[in-house]
Amino acid sequence: MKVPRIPLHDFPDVVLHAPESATKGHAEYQAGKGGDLRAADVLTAQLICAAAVEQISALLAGQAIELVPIHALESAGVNEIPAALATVLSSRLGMPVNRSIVQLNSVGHTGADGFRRLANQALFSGSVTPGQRYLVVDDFVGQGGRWPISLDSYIRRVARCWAPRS
Amino acid sequence: MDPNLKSGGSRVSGSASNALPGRKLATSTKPRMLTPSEIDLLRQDLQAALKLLGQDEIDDAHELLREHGFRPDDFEIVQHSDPLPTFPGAITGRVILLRKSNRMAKAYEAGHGSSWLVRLESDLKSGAFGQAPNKVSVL
Repeated sequence: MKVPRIPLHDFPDVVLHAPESATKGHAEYQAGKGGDLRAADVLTAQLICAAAVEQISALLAGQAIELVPIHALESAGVNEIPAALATVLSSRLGMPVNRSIVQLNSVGHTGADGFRRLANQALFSGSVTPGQRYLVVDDFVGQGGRWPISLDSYIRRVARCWAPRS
Repeated sequence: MDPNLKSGGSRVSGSASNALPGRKLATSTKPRMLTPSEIDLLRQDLQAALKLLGQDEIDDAHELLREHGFRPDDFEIVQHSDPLPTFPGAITGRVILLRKSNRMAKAYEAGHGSSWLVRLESDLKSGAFGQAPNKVSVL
């Protein structure tokens, strides 16, 4: 299956809340990644970084944005960590959360090598508003293929399709 | 049909998955497209996951209860998120705190910009939840 791509121009840097080792080593990580909402909440509460929240706030500079948690079915179950993080960010930053965009396929990226990640790319579906800015929330960045490329392309492509014709 | 694809339909769209969002859906490591019913369940799960309160606020509420001599396990925190907003906005809704031992309860507006924890503290001080079993004097 060919995944549509749109070039990334002026894409901002990723804001990280915690090192990979701290997250993957957390006692609640596996449960949160496998569908346990409570575990995802605890993990988020303990690892969310106040400085990173301030960094996001500064990056957005008062722009109205919508948070898009990557909600996906993975090998262990539904990964609830991005939605838990989006809930806290919504509260702290006063931003709405997109409630409709979900990942349409299971890609088996967790622990996969680069080739497998490239071969099996994520597809998304959900409501996108033309002109709206989005902030993608995920639990990890590996190669960045899932959200900066696949989701960004989906959002831009749909928004372009829906834009009024001049 | 691709062997990795499932045919979809009633076998995966049952009420058991609805009853336990997030727990019933699971897949193998083999890449595949989700069925339409699995996608519906995933969306329902997302709605359920976007709660009103983050764990940090729940922890703060428990800390307040302890500070005022109450046992957090004597309280139930019920969250009601508002339905989909008509305009984009942060998650909002109501929090109901119920003291299980005496059934005293209070409701608070919560979400971004809310001061429900301040009001909770005020209510704890004023006795809105009754007497604290472990009341300690604070100098």
